[in-house]
Amino acid sequence: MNTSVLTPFLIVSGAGVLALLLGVLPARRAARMLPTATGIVALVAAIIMSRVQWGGPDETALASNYLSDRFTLLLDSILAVIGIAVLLLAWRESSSADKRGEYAGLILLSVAGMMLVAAAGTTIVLFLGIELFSVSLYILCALETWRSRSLEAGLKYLIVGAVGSGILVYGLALLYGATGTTVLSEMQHALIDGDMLRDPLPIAALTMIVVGLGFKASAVPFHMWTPDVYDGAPTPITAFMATGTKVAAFAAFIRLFSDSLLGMFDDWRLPVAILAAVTVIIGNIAALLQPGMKRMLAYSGVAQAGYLLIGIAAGSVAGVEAVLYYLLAYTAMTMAAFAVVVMREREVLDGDQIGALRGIGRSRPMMGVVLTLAMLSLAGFPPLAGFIGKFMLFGAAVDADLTWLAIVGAVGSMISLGYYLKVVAVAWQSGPPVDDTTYRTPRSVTIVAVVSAAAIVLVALFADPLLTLCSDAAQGLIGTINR
Amino acid sequence: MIGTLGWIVLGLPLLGALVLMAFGAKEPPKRVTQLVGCGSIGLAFLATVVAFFSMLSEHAEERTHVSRLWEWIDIGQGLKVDLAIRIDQLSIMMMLVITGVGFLIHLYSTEYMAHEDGYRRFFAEMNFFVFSMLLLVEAANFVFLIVGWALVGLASYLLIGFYYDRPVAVAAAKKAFVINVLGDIGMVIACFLLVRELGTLDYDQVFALAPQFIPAGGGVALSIALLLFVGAMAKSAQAPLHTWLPDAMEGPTPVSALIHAATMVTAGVYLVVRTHVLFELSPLAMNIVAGVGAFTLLMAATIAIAQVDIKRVLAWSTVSQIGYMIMATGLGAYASGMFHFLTHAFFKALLFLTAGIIIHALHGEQSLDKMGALRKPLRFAYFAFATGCLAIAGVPGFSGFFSKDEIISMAAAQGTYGWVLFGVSTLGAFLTAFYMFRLLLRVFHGTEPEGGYHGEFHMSGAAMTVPVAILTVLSIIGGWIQVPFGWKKVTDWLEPVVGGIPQKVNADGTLTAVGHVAAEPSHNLEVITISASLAVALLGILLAWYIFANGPERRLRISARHPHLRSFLEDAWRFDEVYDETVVLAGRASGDGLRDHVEPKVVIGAGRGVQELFSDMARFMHQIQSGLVRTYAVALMAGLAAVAVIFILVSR
Amino acid sequence: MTLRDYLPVLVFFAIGLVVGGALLGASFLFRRKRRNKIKELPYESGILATGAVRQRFSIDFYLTAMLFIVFDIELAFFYPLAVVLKSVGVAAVVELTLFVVVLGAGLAYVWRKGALEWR
Repeated sequence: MNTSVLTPFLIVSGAGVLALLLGVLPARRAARMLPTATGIVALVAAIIMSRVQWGGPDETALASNYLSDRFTLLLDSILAVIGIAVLLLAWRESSSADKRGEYAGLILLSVAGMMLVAAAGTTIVLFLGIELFSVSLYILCALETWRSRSLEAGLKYLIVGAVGSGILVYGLALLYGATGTTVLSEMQHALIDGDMLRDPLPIAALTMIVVGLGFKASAVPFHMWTPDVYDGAPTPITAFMATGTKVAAFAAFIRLFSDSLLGMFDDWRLPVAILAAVTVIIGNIAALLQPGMKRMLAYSGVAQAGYLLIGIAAGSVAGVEAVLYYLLAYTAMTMAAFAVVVMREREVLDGDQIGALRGIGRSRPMMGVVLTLAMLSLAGFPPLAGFIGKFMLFGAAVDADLTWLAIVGAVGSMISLGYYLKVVAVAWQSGPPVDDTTYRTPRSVTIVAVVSAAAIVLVALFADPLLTLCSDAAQGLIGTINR
Repeated sequence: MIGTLGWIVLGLPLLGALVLMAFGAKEPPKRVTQLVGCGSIGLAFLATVVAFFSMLSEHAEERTHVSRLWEWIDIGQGLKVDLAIRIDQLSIMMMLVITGVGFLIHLYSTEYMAHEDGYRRFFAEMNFFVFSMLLLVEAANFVFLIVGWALVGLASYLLIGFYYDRPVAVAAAKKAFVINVLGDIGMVIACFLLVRELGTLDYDQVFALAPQFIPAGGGVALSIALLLFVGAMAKSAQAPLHTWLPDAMEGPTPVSALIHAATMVTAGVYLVVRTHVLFELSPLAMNIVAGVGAFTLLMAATIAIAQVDIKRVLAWSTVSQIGYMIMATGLGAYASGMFHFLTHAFFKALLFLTAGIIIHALHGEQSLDKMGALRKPLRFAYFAFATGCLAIAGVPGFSGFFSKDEIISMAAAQGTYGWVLFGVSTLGAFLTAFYMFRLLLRVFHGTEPEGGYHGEFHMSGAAMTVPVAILTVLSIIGGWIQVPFGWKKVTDWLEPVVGGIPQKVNADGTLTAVGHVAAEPSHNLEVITISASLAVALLGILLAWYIFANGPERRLRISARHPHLRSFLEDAWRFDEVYDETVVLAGRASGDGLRDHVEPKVVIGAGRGVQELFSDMARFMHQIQSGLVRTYAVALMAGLAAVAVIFILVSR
Repeated sequence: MTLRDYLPVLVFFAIGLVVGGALLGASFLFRRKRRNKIKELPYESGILATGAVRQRFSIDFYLTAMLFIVFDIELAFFYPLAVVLKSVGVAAVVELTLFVVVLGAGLAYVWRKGALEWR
């Protein structure tokens, strides 16, 4: 056992507690600046630590509860970057003026929970991680206590989330019943040794796990909370949920399905594929008619979860690799889109409506370009990151004899053009500018927007080294099991 | 050396576009825009010419140059995608047309667009288009083909919607984009199949491996070919995916000339020629390609007769002419298709630019009903337009004669199916001559429109007339590079790329031919077909002369006799209406259904219901617990049940 | 063993559902529907109810209760550790100290936020 591999997680969770305390310092100035600063420093440190450990041998810590392989380290870095971006987005959030500690602290704890999911070596740690980030998010959603929509979002998320978590933990418990172990890497053998592969018990477990994780990833039909919660939550937190939760949910999917339960591939392949297809179709169609940016992005996030599920359904190294790459791309483009919404929302009334973006490309070309890149990439327009990601995902599906699923995905992307292009068209339209120049956009938001947009291009441009990274991470997982 | 030139050709328009975009919100002086916009294309043209001549000095078999810049994607299982370009006989031919005709049209635009807002934007987008189109033809693998394919679609979208304050233009742009994306999807899926069957997307490897590993005439070969052809149909406006092109005429006239006549819309022809190995693996797919081309050429020609907008007549004529090219490729006559692409680029660009001069002179008027007797005031345009008409109608000596008649004779030589296509294309030739001379006569001959012309004619300057003059010359002499019974420069030039039959290596090392080479028409047959098409062309011209030469009386009398036929043709066979009633309405209905029934009850209704009851926290709690969250939880449990059912059904 | 073996269970559930539904439905259909004010009154052992049934409590009660549970759990960890301290060694002490530190941080936060004051 090597406890030093825990450092990324320990740094972030420790900083979370510290930030919470710094937020209640008597000195007002310190209470305002220090929590966010601590958070950014800690997240950068976590990135550095995972970079340092990259390339070393796979390690386990805490009696195989915590896995530190390349998969963990890659996701740790992604999650830390998401955390930094969200902290920057929330930097000058007017609502967070006297709640800096809570904002930064809970975001950090949430990131720590997501890291725990990625590193989970047992079902217990997996569930612990999911609950840690979920509970933090419930509070974050409701943090704008004076805004009824925010409270509503938090409460709804809490109640429905509890049902989702309940189903998930039920599934995990049944899995323990079937295998007699909570250690992920031992499940495969336990299933074979106990002659449980044909037994209904692990299938019942699979059903509930699919539903529980599908809820976190907002797959149809477990997505109904998504638009309401995304709409009501403070926008930086929405951005966090859209990116971080998705990454964590798919980390759990990969740990469970693409690794420890790969032996039951024949059982879960088709259900997951059907779930993916339904998610892609419903998500895209529902997004067509949304007048609000946040609602539209919520449904688009649902559809994106469907694309990602296609990679899971492929059940191959190529599929996992594609999912990881697409998560990178998805994070960049979603963050860019939300950064623009955050900016707009602070400038004008009803800034989260699509109409509020009218002419932004003309008055502020930089933001227009950011938005256009994000939308085109989300729609899977070549040669941007979203296109390569989708290409890999659908390609993996075709390789796994799921050509029909690839076609559903492609048709879904075509539908999605309808609403993504609408945003682009509105952004470059001329007309009476919906502008209130009295408010100056904080630089931190601009930085997030521009960096995310640059990432969309860079992730596409340097697809090769990134794919090598993803493939390293994926191979470490699936390589351990002989199918 | 040629590879480097290829990169330069590709880079210059991109650089131009970037420089022009970098100016941001403030307009640079017009001189700067003109210099950057035209200069980059002009230099690219020069570089292409240099590359062409150095290629000429090479041995015919060694004219393929692949240049790799860097490895873009390398996935474990052997799939590698390089950022690479491939310059060979086929791509250099496309490049010459794109940069050459492109340069002329850019030059023309400096004056034509002078009074428009967004001068800089126009040139930035045009340069971006040229870059994308060059990427499409220079790509060395399917991935960059798709990238270029999608980028030209984007550029076309931007340029059709150039007048973004006109809702019609915006709608047209959207329509074009959506239909083109449908094509993109076909191509992407075809690529997936290629990856699965062959594990590579590199042209060289795909074309070498395909005959070995894809069974000829099988379902896979058919699917790949047809999916690729869906892409070609969408981009090249072949029925039934043609409806976007006439609407695309909402864009500025130079855009119509460059993108929607000379270059982009012929990308489908290029695609079929480039991937002809894949098409030849499936004879059925080839026949479908030829059939679609034949149907499109005839349909578009009939529609062109009844249009009153000068640009729309030309648009339908473009659809029809591309139908000829597609039909030729479907018959295996790739060189003939490319030859027609070349001549068509000249005379159709000429026709569009001349139409631009006319529209310019009449202060934006495009309706034929408001034109007539312009022969005298617009003498230069008259000669240019007449040349274009003679070329497209296939009058001997003009370029269209050589290329179109070659396609028609090739069709006649391909057995029974060929004879059917021969009949269709000959009828098409008759209609072409008829509608083009209808256009010419109604614009320049006959009587002045009721009420005469208002105000002065807006005469064009040198920047507009010189490119038109050059294109006029090219439209006359452009066909002489390939003459029946004489020499066949285009066929010889393309021979190493498209000639020969794909061969499959058998287990014992012998070779089996897969697919077939189009039969050459015999000498006598060629004489017969040429005389036939010549006869129908002259017939068409005479008929047009009889009806349209002297004022509107005769044509009004004839059209009054067939009101239904007329309106059917005017509405372009009512494709749009059928689409509206099936595809669009069904989509809208399902969308509306979701919005009207699912949204209000489940999402908005619940959300709003909560909102209204918010005044009181307690009641809010009450509401949450008894109302909507329960709905969500129930949905969750129902979903659980559904997933469970699927699991039970799947597991044995 | 396959899922089909569980079919009897499903049948059992179905029968239960049908029987239960039928009984309730029947009583709903055939019962006499006669209401009056006295019948609708809440029944409290013959004494007339006064005031609203759903009384609201001050939220401070919940806060205090939650804080109590947190420290209760802390104790639940302390006792067993004290019993087996000799056998588990220093590592456990360090871990528990960490736990207490985190808990202490929480207490400090709650204190500063004024959650310990009765409003």
